[in-house]
Amino acid sequence: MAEPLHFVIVGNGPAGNEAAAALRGQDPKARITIISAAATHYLRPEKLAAFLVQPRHRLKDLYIHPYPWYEEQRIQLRLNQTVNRIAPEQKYVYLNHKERVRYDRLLLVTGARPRVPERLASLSSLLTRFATGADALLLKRGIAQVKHMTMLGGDCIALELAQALLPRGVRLTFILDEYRFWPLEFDEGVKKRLADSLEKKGIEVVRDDLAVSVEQAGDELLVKTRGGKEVKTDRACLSSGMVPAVEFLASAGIDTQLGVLVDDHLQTSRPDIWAAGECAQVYYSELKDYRCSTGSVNAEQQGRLVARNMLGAKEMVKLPEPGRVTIAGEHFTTYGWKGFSLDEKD
Amino acid sequence: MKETRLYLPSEREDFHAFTPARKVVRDIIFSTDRRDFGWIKENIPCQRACPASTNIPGYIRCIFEERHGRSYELNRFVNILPGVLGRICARPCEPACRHGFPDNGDPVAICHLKRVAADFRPEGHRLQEQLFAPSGKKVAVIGSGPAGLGAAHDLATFGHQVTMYEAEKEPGGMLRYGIPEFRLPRPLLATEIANVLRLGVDLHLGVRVGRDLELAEILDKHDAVILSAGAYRPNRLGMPGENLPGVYTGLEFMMRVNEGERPEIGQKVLVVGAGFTAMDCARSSIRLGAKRVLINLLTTEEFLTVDQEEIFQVKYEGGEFRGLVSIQEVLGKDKVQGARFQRNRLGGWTERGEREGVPIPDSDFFDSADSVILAIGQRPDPSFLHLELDQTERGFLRLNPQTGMTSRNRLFIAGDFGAGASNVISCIGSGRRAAWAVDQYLMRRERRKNVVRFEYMPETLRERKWDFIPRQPMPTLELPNRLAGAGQSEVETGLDPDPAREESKRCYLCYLRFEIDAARCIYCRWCMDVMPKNCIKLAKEVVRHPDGSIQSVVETEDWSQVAAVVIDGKECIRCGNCFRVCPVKCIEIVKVEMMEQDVEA
Repeated sequence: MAEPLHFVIVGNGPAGNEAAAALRGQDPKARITIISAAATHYLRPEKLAAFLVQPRHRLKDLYIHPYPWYEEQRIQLRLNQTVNRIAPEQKYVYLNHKERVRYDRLLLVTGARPRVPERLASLSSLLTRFATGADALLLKRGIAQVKHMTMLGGDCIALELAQALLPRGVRLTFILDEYRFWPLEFDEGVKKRLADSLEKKGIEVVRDDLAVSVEQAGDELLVKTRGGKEVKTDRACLSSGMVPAVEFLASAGIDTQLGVLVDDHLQTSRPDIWAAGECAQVYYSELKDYRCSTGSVNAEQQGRLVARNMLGAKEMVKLPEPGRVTIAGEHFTTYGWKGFSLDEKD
Repeated sequence: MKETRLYLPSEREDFHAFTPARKVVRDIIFSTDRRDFGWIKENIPCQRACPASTNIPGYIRCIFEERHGRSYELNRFVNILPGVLGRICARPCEPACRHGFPDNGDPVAICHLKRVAADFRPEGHRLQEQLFAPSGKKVAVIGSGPAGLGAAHDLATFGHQVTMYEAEKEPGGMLRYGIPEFRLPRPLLATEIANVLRLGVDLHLGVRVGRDLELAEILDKHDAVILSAGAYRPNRLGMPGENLPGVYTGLEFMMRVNEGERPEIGQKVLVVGAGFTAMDCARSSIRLGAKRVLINLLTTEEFLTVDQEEIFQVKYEGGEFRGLVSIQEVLGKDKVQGARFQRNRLGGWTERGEREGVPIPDSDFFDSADSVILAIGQRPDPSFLHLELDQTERGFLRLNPQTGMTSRNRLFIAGDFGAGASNVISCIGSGRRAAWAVDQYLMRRERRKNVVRFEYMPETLRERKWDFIPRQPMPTLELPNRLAGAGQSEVETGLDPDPAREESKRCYLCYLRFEIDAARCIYCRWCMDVMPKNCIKLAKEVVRHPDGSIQSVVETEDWSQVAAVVIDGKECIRCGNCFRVCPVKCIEIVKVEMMEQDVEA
């Protein structure tokens, strides 16, 4: 009897976990391994903001699957292990600790991480990130001391965070740059209305400006903008959108641009390697443009689809269905995020 | 027993008894054996990658020894303009550096160290020129760019009377008119050009050959002519709207900026192109006050010819990249209003090793713009020659491979004018080679040649811990200071002495040849216990290149077949662990350098 296929999944987010579950459902014999650089589990990122401000919430409560689920499903979960190189000819992934893992089919679901604008790159260690479970844990530890927080960019993650922090009396400053309200694409009029509504909520809004430096000033940080404004703050949070985490793939000859370039079947430029979720960049003829999907709902859908394709199907990836977003009493249609709302009750 | 030893210049039994005084007279050996040149090619990857064959480990070691003047001279002997190159070299050496091999970390900052040598050379340091007696021959050099300067320098040292014709108001060619001042300060350029001119080069500025003076006339008055007129004809796409006001070619734009003009560019600039000129255009546009600058690429950032650091600097200054697009036409009535693009997908590879972008049908989109800069390269323009010369299929002038001469007797070519746009270091190398060819033609014999110099080293020169020093970052100006005034302040401020010395320690010194003397080796394998890489091998036999130098080692694990314990020069990172641990001191270290030497008549 032939050896069962070994499916290796790099990344432990919604796309990867959904793909793993779907693979197991359709191929009971397959070997499935999830390799993740993060030490934390698969959890819904949209729940992180609430977790941050609820003192009694534990990160474990957010896990989609408990540990035993992976055992039951015979999915090997390797946390805290970083893939730093892929050798497609030999079909190996190389881990940071010099181990190599052979695969038959490889799925890249490395997701995205907060964009660090180049002008702030050298200050990276002073900046707060809010994207993963680990980020949330780190921020939660000191959240009681945070009286003022500055959002550098003002994307939707910042809006989520604001939604959780405002009722707790944290004062907020949004410095809105070209990535404001990422990933939602609005015209200028809507962007202005949104900024107005933030102000109405008591948030200080710095418009059409961008942070150019962050300095440590005693216990506080001093954020300076190009327009000459200075903001004293406890935390400066990166919120200029997310960028796919794909740098390590270039040496493997896997084509990347913003994300991993994949065809309509989510297959990369190399045989037996697929990609899905926020790290996969697809050309949509409807948009006449490339797009990386955003949001966990889209990622989960792509994860299930890519699992079927990895088992031999030839399903086409479709443009995500429009979803509805409510911000400050206004409803917006969006391809990206779904079911998101900035209002307390909606 | 099969021969596994490297070729050694001499057998020496009294090595351990040497005294420093004797070392000078006894332990330096010169060779012209092709196996030794083969060894250098195989083992010193940076020097091999350098179009001017710069002795990179040699000058980096001098920086460690704080002999900056000597380090500068080691550079200047072969690449003429170290201070210039230390800033703007295309650095083919750095991707080749052994420190950048898998698992070895980042390449040594070879280029930045060259600048260190130039920045810290002592005031009033002595230039060493090897001058031949005046030959009475006259040679003309057309164009005073890097190729022309390289050629003029060597021709002058050969003793020929050099006349240089330059069409523009100042010498330097692309160095002055193509490269922006924030990359290359003009006083430094002037100093290094003066170092060439003071050898007796007669420079005629503002003389455009073909307009003010015919090439045929110059050929009549001189014994030989080197054409180094560069590549100044911009490539065109032949698309609609290309000639609208507000559309610039990259070269035209940079030349105007470098002459102190401030071209009208408006608020939003679309740059098309993927090379250094495109980056320079984008960064200059930002300095001219453009609010949004987008660099449009056929492929992706990964396949740019510029390095990661440059991409970072462009983004730091606010430039944006838009990958996977091709421009279709420029739109506008009386001036540019925008451009129509198509999305691309990545295609195959061209013959020249470039990735292709293939337009996706029905993917057009429009982007508004106030100006469009087409920085898609340039070609030489031989039309001003007014001479019939043989050309290659690709439209370049055909050269005789033996003499380097064109189909016209006594007419030689150097730099971009020969084979199209390249980079500064290639042009300098090409200029010098043309000068050597001219000299050989005029004097009817070779007067200078490359030799390999060997020097036994009593120690390893390196410490193992130096292998873990991270690459030292180049300090740069902060954004407001970059854009202040006319925006011409030099962006890179240069390594300070301490980081520079740290960086110099990172060089593996690949010019050191570690070799085990099989006659004295007792096969204890201690060296193999301490080796950090898979660098010492039990060899059955060696595979040689056609030139006789060792290509690779055939390993064996069967002791009955082991012919020798061999250090694989390609894996060896010259850490010195094996040398220090060897109980019988059978590992010898030889410094192998290529240098130029006079040929006796």
